[in-house]
Amino acid sequence: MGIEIIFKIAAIGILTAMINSILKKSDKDEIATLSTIAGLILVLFIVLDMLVQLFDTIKALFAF
Amino acid sequence: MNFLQIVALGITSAILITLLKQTKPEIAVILGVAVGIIIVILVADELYEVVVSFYGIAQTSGISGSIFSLILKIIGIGYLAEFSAGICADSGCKSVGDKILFAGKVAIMILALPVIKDLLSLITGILP
Repeated sequence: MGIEIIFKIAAIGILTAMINSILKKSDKDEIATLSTIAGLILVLFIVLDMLVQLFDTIKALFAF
Repeated sequence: MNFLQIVALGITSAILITLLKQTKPEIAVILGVAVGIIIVILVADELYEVVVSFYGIAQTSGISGSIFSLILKIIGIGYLAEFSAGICADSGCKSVGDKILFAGKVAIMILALPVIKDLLSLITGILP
């Protein structure tokens, strides 16, 4: 928990950007958009798990 | 997790977010959300000690438990509203953030209504 999650998400973002530009160069634009969507969904899953954890801590903390 | 580590964490993630903003703005917004969550979870156990000690103070000073838990709920709602409004402002849709803040105010007002009623009945009782 901490810096490694941030670096993981940043790495996924940079990798999708690179894959995107490579695919665009070899004019496979539809696969480029698919790779962008895939990277976005991956990052969303990571952050959704953390959001659930945040809401649990806040519920426990503030006696919701 | 002392304060310096959190400051370093925030600065490095701010730089990473600006880096990601040009190529992938949507992932930059999600990274902002992730950083906010991490910092809150890292600070949560100290905050828990504060809440527990306040609970002890409230017990000794005779404030009834229900009012104190009400105060805690209101603080929680205020914090969550501010957290999500900040995320909406970061991602550029400030109006959505303002709507969330408005909804938070309504929720707090609903929670505070019974206390206000008791206060008013108390006052009218005192007045001749």
